[in-house]
Amino acid sequence: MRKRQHASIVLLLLLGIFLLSTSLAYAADTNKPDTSGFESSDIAALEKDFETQSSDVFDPLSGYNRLMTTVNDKLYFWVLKPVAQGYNYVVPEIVRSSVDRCFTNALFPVRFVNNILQLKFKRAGIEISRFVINTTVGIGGLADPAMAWLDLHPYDEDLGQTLGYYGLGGGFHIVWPVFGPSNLRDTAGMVGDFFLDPINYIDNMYISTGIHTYKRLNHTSLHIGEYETIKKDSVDLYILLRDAYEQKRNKDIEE
Amino acid sequence: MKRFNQIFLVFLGFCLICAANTALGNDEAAVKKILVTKTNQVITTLKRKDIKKEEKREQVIKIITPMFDFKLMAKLSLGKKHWMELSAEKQKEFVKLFVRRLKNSYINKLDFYNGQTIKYGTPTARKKIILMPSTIISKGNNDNISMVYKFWHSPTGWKIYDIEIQGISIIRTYRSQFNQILRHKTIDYLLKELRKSPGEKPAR
Repeated sequence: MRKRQHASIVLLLLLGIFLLSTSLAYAADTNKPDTSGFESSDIAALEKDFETQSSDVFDPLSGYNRLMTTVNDKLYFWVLKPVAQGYNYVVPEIVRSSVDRCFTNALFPVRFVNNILQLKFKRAGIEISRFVINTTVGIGGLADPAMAWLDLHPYDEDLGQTLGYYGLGGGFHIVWPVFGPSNLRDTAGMVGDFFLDPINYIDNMYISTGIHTYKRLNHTSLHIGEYETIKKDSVDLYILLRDAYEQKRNKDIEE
Repeated sequence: MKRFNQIFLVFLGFCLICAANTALGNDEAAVKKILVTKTNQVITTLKRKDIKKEEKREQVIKIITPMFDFKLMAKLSLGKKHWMELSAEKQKEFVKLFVRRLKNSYINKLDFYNGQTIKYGTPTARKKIILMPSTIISKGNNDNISMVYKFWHSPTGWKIYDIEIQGISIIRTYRSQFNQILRHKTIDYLLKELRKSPGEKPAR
Protein backbone atom coordinates (compact mmCIF):
# COMPACT_ATOMS: atom_id res chain seq x y z
CA MET A 1 0.00 0.00 0.00
CA ARG A 2 2.68 2.44 1.07
CA LYS A 3 4.83 1.55 -1.86
CA ARG A 4 1.97 2.35 -4.14
CA GLN A 5 1.47 5.80 -2.60
CA HIS A 6 5.15 6.52 -3.08
CA ALA A 7 4.90 5.57 -6.68
CA SER A 8 1.95 7.86 -7.30
CA ILE A 9 3.67 10.82 -5.61
CA VAL A 10 6.78 10.27 -7.70
CA LEU A 11 4.60 10.05 -10.76
CA LEU A 12 2.85 13.29 -9.85
CA LEU A 13 6.17 15.01 -9.29
CA LEU A 14 7.48 13.80 -12.60
CA LEU A 15 4.35 15.04 -14.30
CA GLY A 16 4.72 18.42 -12.62
CA ILE A 17 8.33 18.74 -13.67
CA PHE A 18 7.42 17.75 -17.18
CA LEU A 19 4.63 20.34 -17.39
CA LEU A 20 6.81 23.05 -15.90
CA SER A 21 9.66 22.35 -18.27
CA THR A 22 7.42 22.41 -21.32
CA SER A 23 5.80 25.64 -20.25
CA LEU A 24 9.24 27.15 -19.62
CA ALA A 25 10.37 25.94 -22.99
CA TYR A 26 7.27 27.54 -24.46
CA ALA A 27 7.96 30.82 -22.68
CA ALA A 28 11.53 30.75 -23.95
CA ASP A 29 10.17 30.03 -27.37
CA THR A 30 7.99 33.14 -27.45
CA ASN A 31 11.06 35.21 -26.77
CA LYS A 32 12.79 33.88 -29.83
CA PRO A 33 12.38 35.94 -33.00
CA ASP A 34 9.21 35.05 -34.79
CA THR A 35 10.26 33.47 -38.03
CA SER A 36 6.88 31.93 -38.59
CA GLY A 37 5.13 32.67 -41.79
CA PHE A 38 8.03 33.21 -44.06
CA GLU A 39 8.76 29.46 -44.19
CA SER A 40 5.23 28.81 -45.25
CA SER A 41 5.17 28.58 -49.01
CA ASP A 42 1.91 30.55 -49.10
CA ILE A 43 3.42 33.65 -47.57
CA ALA A 44 6.62 33.30 -49.54
CA ALA A 45 4.45 33.38 -52.65
CA LEU A 46 2.68 36.48 -51.39
CA GLU A 47 6.00 38.18 -50.80
CA LYS A 48 7.27 37.31 -54.26
CA ASP A 49 4.46 39.43 -55.63
CA PHE A 50 5.97 42.50 -54.01
CA GLU A 51 9.56 41.72 -54.91
CA THR A 52 9.10 41.89 -58.66
CA GLN A 53 8.78 45.63 -58.86
CA SER A 54 10.40 47.01 -55.76
CA SER A 55 13.96 46.06 -56.56
CA ASP A 56 16.69 48.64 -56.27
CA VAL A 57 15.67 51.71 -58.18
CA PHE A 58 18.19 53.56 -60.33
CA ASP A 59 17.84 57.10 -59.02
CA PRO A 60 20.82 59.25 -60.04
CA LEU A 61 18.98 62.51 -59.35
CA SER A 62 17.84 61.56 -55.84
CA GLY A 63 19.63 64.50 -54.21
CA TYR A 64 18.07 67.05 -56.54
CA ASN A 65 14.73 65.22 -56.46
CA ARG A 66 14.57 65.36 -52.68
CA LEU A 67 15.31 69.06 -52.76
CA MET A 68 12.60 69.65 -55.39
CA THR A 69 10.12 67.60 -53.34
CA THR A 70 10.72 70.00 -50.46
CA VAL A 71 10.41 73.02 -52.77
CA ASN A 72 7.10 71.75 -54.15
CA ASP A 73 5.92 70.98 -50.63
CA LYS A 74 6.58 74.59 -49.56
CA LEU A 75 5.04 75.88 -52.76
CA TYR A 76 1.88 73.96 -51.92
CA PHE A 77 1.60 74.98 -48.27
CA TRP A 78 2.74 78.60 -48.66
CA VAL A 79 1.20 79.57 -52.00
CA LEU A 80 -1.11 77.14 -53.72
CA LYS A 81 -3.13 75.97 -50.72
CA PRO A 82 -3.86 79.38 -49.15
CA VAL A 83 -4.85 80.84 -52.52
CA ALA A 84 -7.01 77.81 -53.31
CA GLN A 85 -8.68 78.08 -49.90
CA GLY A 86 -9.54 81.72 -50.53
CA TYR A 87 -10.85 80.78 -53.95
CA ASN A 88 -12.89 77.95 -52.36
CA TYR A 89 -14.45 80.44 -50.02
CA VAL A 90 -15.64 82.69 -52.85
CA VAL A 91 -16.56 80.18 -55.56
CA PRO A 92 -19.09 77.40 -54.86
CA GLU A 93 -18.03 73.82 -55.48
CA ILE A 94 -20.46 73.23 -58.34
CA VAL A 95 -18.80 76.01 -60.34
CA ARG A 96 -15.31 74.75 -59.56
CA SER A 97 -16.07 71.18 -60.61
CA SER A 98 -17.74 72.44 -63.80
CA VAL A 99 -14.64 74.45 -64.65
CA ASP A 100 -12.51 71.39 -63.94
CA ARG A 101 -14.63 69.32 -66.32
CA CYS A 102 -14.35 72.02 -68.97
CA PHE A 103 -10.54 71.91 -68.83
CA THR A 104 -10.63 68.11 -68.98
CA ASN A 105 -12.86 68.30 -72.04
CA ALA A 106 -10.40 70.66 -73.74
CA LEU A 107 -7.67 68.02 -73.40
CA PHE A 108 -9.63 65.78 -75.78
CA PRO A 109 -6.92 65.95 -78.51
CA VAL A 110 -4.34 64.45 -76.13
CA ARG A 111 -6.58 61.52 -75.24
CA PHE A 112 -7.80 60.98 -78.80
CA VAL A 113 -4.41 61.01 -80.48
CA ASN A 114 -2.81 58.76 -77.87
CA ASN A 115 -5.66 56.24 -78.02
CA ILE A 116 -5.15 56.13 -81.81
CA LEU A 117 -1.36 55.78 -81.40
CA GLN A 118 -2.00 52.80 -79.14
CA LEU A 119 -4.41 51.36 -81.72
CA LYS A 120 -7.27 51.59 -79.23
CA PHE A 121 -9.78 52.62 -81.89
CA LYS A 122 -12.94 51.83 -79.99
CA ARG A 123 -11.80 53.99 -77.09
CA ALA A 124 -10.80 56.76 -79.50
CA GLY A 125 -14.34 56.57 -80.92
CA ILE A 126 -15.83 56.87 -77.44
CA GLU A 127 -13.60 59.89 -76.82
CA ILE A 128 -14.97 61.52 -80.00
CA SER A 129 -18.56 60.89 -78.89
CA ARG A 130 -17.79 62.26 -75.46
CA PHE A 131 -16.19 65.39 -76.91
CA VAL A 132 -19.05 66.07 -79.34
CA ILE A 133 -21.80 65.48 -76.78
CA ASN A 134 -20.12 67.31 -73.91
CA THR A 135 -19.04 70.29 -76.01
CA THR A 136 -22.57 70.81 -77.40
CA VAL A 137 -25.12 69.47 -74.91
CA GLY A 138 -22.69 69.85 -72.03
CA ILE A 139 -22.01 73.50 -72.94
CA GLY A 140 -18.30 73.42 -73.70
CA GLY A 141 -17.71 70.58 -71.29
CA LEU A 142 -19.04 72.33 -68.20
CA ALA A 143 -21.31 69.33 -67.70
CA ASP A 144 -20.66 65.69 -68.54
CA PRO A 145 -23.92 64.36 -70.04
CA ALA A 146 -21.99 61.66 -71.94
CA MET A 147 -21.13 60.01 -68.65
CA ALA A 148 -24.29 60.92 -66.75
CA TRP A 149 -26.78 59.78 -69.40
CA LEU A 150 -24.89 57.46 -71.71
CA ASP A 151 -22.36 55.98 -69.29
CA LEU A 152 -19.46 56.83 -71.63
CA HIS A 153 -16.33 56.99 -69.51
CA PRO A 154 -13.20 58.88 -70.56
CA TYR A 155 -10.09 56.92 -71.51
CA ASP A 156 -7.22 58.93 -70.20
CA GLU A 157 -4.11 58.43 -72.29
CA ASP A 158 -1.03 60.60 -72.78
CA LEU A 159 2.18 60.32 -74.74
CA GLY A 160 4.10 58.95 -71.75
CA GLN A 161 1.61 56.08 -71.61
CA THR A 162 1.86 55.57 -75.37
CA LEU A 163 5.66 55.29 -75.15
CA GLY A 164 5.22 52.86 -72.24
CA TYR A 165 2.68 50.88 -74.27
CA TYR A 166 5.36 50.29 -76.89
CA GLY A 167 7.73 48.99 -74.25
CA LEU A 168 9.75 52.05 -73.30
CA GLY A 169 10.72 51.93 -69.63
CA GLY A 170 10.27 54.92 -67.37
CA GLY A 171 13.94 55.74 -67.03
CA PHE A 172 15.08 57.48 -63.89
CA HIS A 173 12.78 59.57 -61.73
CA ILE A 174 12.70 63.37 -62.08
CA VAL A 175 10.83 65.78 -59.83
CA TRP A 176 9.96 68.99 -61.70
CA PRO A 177 9.34 72.25 -59.91
CA VAL A 178 5.60 73.03 -59.90
CA PHE A 179 4.72 69.96 -62.04
CA GLY A 180 5.90 67.42 -59.48
CA PRO A 181 6.98 63.78 -59.91
CA SER A 182 7.80 62.49 -63.38
CA ASN A 183 10.40 60.33 -65.10
CA LEU A 184 12.47 60.49 -68.25
CA ARG A 185 9.84 58.87 -70.47
CA ASP A 186 6.93 60.90 -69.12
CA THR A 187 8.90 64.14 -69.42
CA ALA A 188 9.39 63.44 -73.11
CA GLY A 189 5.69 62.64 -73.25
CA MET A 190 4.79 65.93 -71.59
CA VAL A 191 6.75 67.82 -74.23
CA GLY A 192 4.90 66.01 -77.01
CA ASP A 193 1.50 66.46 -75.41
CA PHE A 194 2.23 70.18 -75.10
CA PHE A 195 1.44 70.48 -78.81
CA LEU A 196 -1.93 68.77 -78.35
CA ASP A 197 -3.15 71.09 -75.62
CA PRO A 198 -5.34 73.83 -77.15
CA ILE A 199 -4.35 76.27 -74.38
CA ASN A 200 -0.83 76.37 -75.81
CA TYR A 201 -2.16 77.64 -79.13
CA ILE A 202 -3.20 80.94 -77.62
CA ASP A 203 -0.86 83.49 -79.19
CA ASN A 204 -0.17 85.48 -76.04
CA MET A 205 2.16 83.54 -73.76
CA TYR A 206 1.07 85.50 -70.67
CA ILE A 207 -2.53 84.56 -71.25
CA SER A 208 -1.82 80.87 -71.87
CA THR A 209 0.41 80.70 -68.76
CA GLY A 210 -2.33 82.48 -66.84
CA ILE A 211 -4.90 79.94 -67.95
CA HIS A 212 -2.60 77.06 -67.00
CA THR A 213 -2.12 78.60 -63.56
CA TYR A 214 -5.84 79.09 -63.07
CA LYS A 215 -6.51 75.52 -64.20
CA ARG A 216 -4.05 74.24 -61.61
CA LEU A 217 -5.51 76.44 -58.89
CA ASN A 218 -9.06 75.33 -59.68
CA HIS A 219 -8.03 71.67 -59.68
CA THR A 220 -6.17 72.05 -56.39
CA SER A 221 -9.20 73.71 -54.80
CA LEU A 222 -11.14 70.47 -55.36
CA HIS A 223 -8.46 68.30 -53.80
CA ILE A 224 -7.33 70.14 -50.69
CA GLY A 225 -6.43 67.69 -47.94
CA GLU A 226 -5.32 64.83 -50.16
CA TYR A 227 -1.65 65.73 -50.31
CA GLU A 228 -1.74 66.36 -46.58
CA THR A 229 -2.92 62.81 -45.81
CA ILE A 230 -0.31 61.33 -48.13
CA LYS A 231 2.35 63.36 -46.37
CA LYS A 232 1.02 62.26 -43.00
CA ASP A 233 1.22 58.59 -44.05
CA SER A 234 4.81 58.85 -45.16
CA VAL A 235 7.92 57.69 -43.36
CA ASP A 236 10.08 59.01 -46.20
CA LEU A 237 7.97 61.42 -48.25
CA TYR A 238 10.15 61.48 -51.36
CA ILE A 239 10.30 57.68 -51.62
CA LEU A 240 6.56 57.39 -51.06
CA LEU A 241 5.77 59.93 -53.80
CA ARG A 242 8.28 58.38 -56.20
CA ASP A 243 7.02 54.87 -55.65
CA ALA A 244 3.36 55.85 -55.83
CA TYR A 245 3.99 57.77 -59.06
CA GLU A 246 5.78 54.89 -60.78
CA GLN A 247 3.19 52.33 -59.63
CA LYS A 248 0.32 54.52 -60.83
CA ARG A 249 1.95 55.06 -64.22
CA ASN A 250 2.62 51.33 -64.67
CA LYS A 251 -1.01 50.63 -63.92
CA ASP A 252 -2.17 53.34 -66.35
CA ILE A 253 0.02 51.91 -69.11
CA GLU A 254 -1.33 48.42 -68.48
CA GLU A 255 -4.93 49.55 -68.97
CA MET B 1 -23.87 -4.13 -65.66
CA LYS B 2 -20.52 -2.94 -66.94
CA ARG B 3 -22.22 -0.21 -68.90
CA PHE B 4 -24.15 0.86 -65.83
CA ASN B 5 -20.88 1.12 -63.93
CA GLN B 6 -19.40 3.31 -66.61
CA ILE B 7 -22.36 5.64 -66.57
CA PHE B 8 -22.20 5.76 -62.81
CA LEU B 9 -18.51 6.66 -62.90
CA VAL B 10 -19.10 9.43 -65.41
CA PHE B 11 -21.94 10.72 -63.25
CA LEU B 12 -19.73 10.61 -60.15
CA GLY B 13 -17.00 12.50 -61.96
CA PHE B 14 -19.48 15.10 -63.08
CA CYS B 15 -20.73 15.51 -59.51
CA LEU B 16 -17.17 15.97 -58.26
CA ILE B 17 -16.41 18.66 -60.84
CA CYS B 18 -19.61 20.48 -59.91
CA ALA B 19 -18.77 20.28 -56.23
CA ALA B 20 -15.26 21.61 -56.87
CA ASN B 21 -16.70 24.42 -58.93
CA THR B 22 -19.19 25.56 -56.34
CA ALA B 23 -16.53 25.24 -53.65
CA LEU B 24 -14.31 27.62 -55.60
CA GLY B 25 -17.16 30.00 -56.32
CA ASN B 26 -18.11 29.94 -52.66
CA ASP B 27 -14.75 31.33 -51.59
CA GLU B 28 -15.08 34.28 -53.92
CA ALA B 29 -18.65 34.89 -52.85
CA ALA B 30 -17.57 34.71 -49.21
CA VAL B 31 -14.82 37.27 -49.75
CA LYS B 32 -17.21 39.63 -51.49
CA LYS B 33 -19.72 39.17 -48.69
CA ILE B 34 -17.10 40.02 -46.04
CA LEU B 35 -16.15 43.24 -47.81
CA VAL B 36 -19.72 44.32 -48.59
CA THR B 37 -20.96 43.64 -45.05
CA LYS B 38 -18.04 45.42 -43.39
CA THR B 39 -18.17 48.39 -45.75
CA ASN B 40 -21.89 48.79 -45.17
CA GLN B 41 -21.33 48.70 -41.42
CA VAL B 42 -18.64 51.37 -41.74
CA ILE B 43 -20.86 53.62 -43.88
CA THR B 44 -23.79 53.22 -41.50
CA THR B 45 -21.52 54.22 -38.63
CA LEU B 46 -20.19 57.23 -40.52
CA LYS B 47 -23.71 58.40 -41.30
CA ARG B 48 -24.85 58.26 -37.67
CA LYS B 49 -25.56 61.65 -36.22
CA ASP B 50 -26.05 60.63 -32.58
CA ILE B 51 -22.39 59.92 -31.81
CA LYS B 52 -19.27 62.07 -31.85
CA LYS B 53 -16.44 61.83 -34.36
CA GLU B 54 -14.05 60.18 -31.91
CA GLU B 55 -16.60 57.53 -31.05
CA LYS B 56 -17.27 56.88 -34.72
CA ARG B 57 -13.57 56.31 -35.30
CA GLU B 58 -13.36 53.80 -32.47
CA GLN B 59 -16.37 51.90 -33.76
CA VAL B 60 -15.05 51.82 -37.31
CA ILE B 61 -11.73 50.40 -36.11
CA LYS B 62 -13.64 47.71 -34.21
CA ILE B 63 -15.59 46.83 -37.34
CA ILE B 64 -12.67 46.57 -39.73
CA THR B 65 -9.99 45.01 -37.51
CA PRO B 66 -11.14 41.37 -37.94
CA MET B 67 -11.05 41.81 -41.72
CA PHE B 68 -7.28 42.52 -41.85
CA ASP B 69 -4.23 40.33 -41.28
CA PHE B 70 -2.27 43.17 -39.70
CA LYS B 71 0.67 41.08 -38.59
CA LEU B 72 1.22 39.72 -42.07
CA MET B 73 0.97 43.25 -43.46
CA ALA B 74 3.72 44.32 -41.09
CA LYS B 75 5.92 41.38 -42.11
CA LEU B 76 5.41 41.93 -45.82
CA SER B 77 6.10 45.64 -45.51
CA LEU B 78 9.43 45.02 -43.86
CA GLY B 79 10.30 42.06 -46.04
CA LYS B 80 11.70 38.68 -45.09
CA LYS B 81 15.34 39.77 -45.01
CA HIS B 82 14.87 42.62 -42.54
CA TRP B 83 12.24 40.79 -40.49
CA MET B 84 14.54 37.83 -39.81
CA GLU B 85 17.30 40.12 -38.56
CA LEU B 86 15.15 41.53 -35.75
CA SER B 87 15.03 40.26 -32.20
CA ALA B 88 11.68 39.13 -30.81
CA GLU B 89 11.12 42.38 -28.91
CA LYS B 90 11.90 44.51 -31.91
CA GLN B 91 9.61 42.43 -34.08
CA LYS B 92 6.85 42.94 -31.55
CA GLU B 93 7.44 46.65 -31.33
CA PHE B 94 7.60 47.01 -35.09
CA VAL B 95 4.28 45.20 -35.54
CA LYS B 96 2.69 47.31 -32.82
CA LEU B 97 3.88 50.61 -34.30
CA PHE B 98 3.12 49.62 -37.87
CA VAL B 99 -0.41 48.45 -37.09
CA ARG B 100 -1.08 51.66 -35.19
CA ARG B 101 0.10 53.61 -38.22
CA LEU B 102 -2.06 51.61 -40.63
CA LYS B 103 -5.16 52.04 -38.47
CA ASN B 104 -4.59 55.77 -38.10
CA SER B 105 -4.03 56.12 -41.80
CA TYR B 106 -7.30 54.30 -42.51
CA ILE B 107 -9.17 56.41 -39.97
CA ASN B 108 -7.81 59.67 -41.39
CA LYS B 109 -9.12 58.77 -44.84
CA LEU B 110 -12.64 58.57 -43.45
CA ASP B 111 -12.73 62.36 -43.21
CA PHE B 112 -13.07 62.40 -46.98
CA TYR B 113 -16.37 60.56 -46.82
CA ASN B 114 -19.23 62.76 -47.94
CA GLY B 115 -21.83 60.44 -49.36
CA GLN B 116 -19.82 58.53 -51.98
CA THR B 117 -21.20 55.16 -52.99
CA ILE B 118 -19.29 51.93 -53.52
CA LYS B 119 -19.56 49.77 -56.61
CA TYR B 120 -18.27 46.22 -56.19
CA GLY B 121 -16.59 44.33 -59.00
CA THR B 122 -16.27 40.60 -59.49
CA PRO B 123 -13.69 38.87 -57.31
CA THR B 124 -11.03 36.87 -59.12
CA ALA B 125 -9.04 34.02 -57.62
CA ARG B 126 -5.33 33.83 -58.33
CA LYS B 127 -3.35 30.98 -56.83
CA LYS B 128 -4.21 31.20 -53.13
CA ILE B 129 -5.41 34.77 -53.11
CA ILE B 130 -8.59 36.52 -54.13
CA LEU B 131 -8.56 40.01 -55.60
CA MET B 132 -11.69 41.96 -54.80
CA PRO B 133 -12.04 45.13 -56.91
CA SER B 134 -14.34 47.98 -56.01
CA THR B 135 -14.82 51.60 -57.02
CA ILE B 136 -15.61 54.57 -54.85
CA ILE B 137 -18.08 56.61 -56.87
CA SER B 138 -17.98 60.31 -56.06
CA LYS B 139 -21.11 62.41 -56.11
CA GLY B 140 -20.30 64.13 -59.39
CA ASN B 141 -19.04 60.82 -60.79
CA ASN B 142 -15.86 62.53 -61.99
CA ASP B 143 -13.41 61.63 -59.24
CA ASN B 144 -13.92 57.92 -58.92
CA ILE B 145 -11.28 55.92 -57.08
CA SER B 146 -10.54 52.33 -57.99
CA MET B 147 -9.55 49.98 -55.18
CA VAL B 148 -8.44 46.37 -55.08
CA TYR B 149 -8.63 44.48 -51.80
CA LYS B 150 -6.25 41.53 -51.72
CA PHE B 151 -7.42 38.64 -49.55
CA TRP B 152 -5.47 35.53 -48.63
CA HIS B 153 -6.65 32.34 -46.99
CA SER B 154 -5.18 32.75 -43.51
CA PRO B 155 -5.53 29.99 -40.91
CA THR B 156 -8.39 32.02 -39.45
CA GLY B 157 -10.25 32.65 -42.68
CA TRP B 158 -10.04 35.10 -45.55
CA LYS B 159 -8.14 38.25 -44.56
CA ILE B 160 -6.94 41.37 -46.33
CA TYR B 161 -3.15 41.64 -46.63
CA ASP B 162 -2.89 44.57 -49.05
CA ILE B 163 -5.01 47.27 -50.66
CA GLU B 164 -4.33 48.88 -54.01
CA ILE B 165 -5.65 52.40 -54.42
CA GLN B 166 -5.60 53.59 -58.05
CA GLY B 167 -3.04 50.91 -58.74
CA ILE B 168 -0.82 51.91 -55.81
CA SER B 169 -0.18 49.09 -53.36
CA ILE B 170 0.02 50.20 -49.75
CA ILE B 171 2.39 47.41 -48.81
CA ARG B 172 4.67 48.15 -51.75
CA THR B 173 4.98 51.83 -50.88
CA TYR B 174 5.88 50.93 -47.29
CA ARG B 175 8.35 48.33 -48.50
CA SER B 176 10.25 50.79 -50.64
CA GLN B 177 10.31 53.35 -47.85
CA PHE B 178 11.53 50.85 -45.24
CA ASN B 179 14.07 49.41 -47.67
CA GLN B 180 15.42 52.87 -48.39
CA ILE B 181 15.70 53.75 -44.70
CA LEU B 182 17.29 50.43 -43.72
CA ARG B 183 19.85 50.71 -46.50
CA HIS B 184 21.55 53.58 -44.72
CA LYS B 185 20.22 53.47 -41.17
CA THR B 186 19.51 50.97 -38.40
CA ILE B 187 16.24 49.43 -37.34
CA ASP B 188 16.35 51.55 -34.19
CA TYR B 189 16.19 54.66 -36.33
CA LEU B 190 13.19 53.25 -38.20
CA LEU B 191 11.41 52.37 -34.96
CA LYS B 192 12.10 55.87 -33.68
CA GLU B 193 10.58 57.35 -36.83
CA LEU B 194 7.54 55.11 -36.49
CA ARG B 195 7.17 55.96 -32.81
CA LYS B 196 6.90 59.66 -33.49
CA SER B 197 4.39 58.79 -36.19
CA PRO B 198 2.51 61.99 -36.97
CA GLY B 199 -0.37 59.79 -38.10
CA GLU B 200 -1.35 59.18 -34.49
CA LYS B 201 -2.78 62.64 -34.16
CA PRO B 202 -6.36 62.95 -35.37
CA ALA B 203 -6.57 64.42 -38.87
CA ARG B 204 -6.83 68.22 -39.05
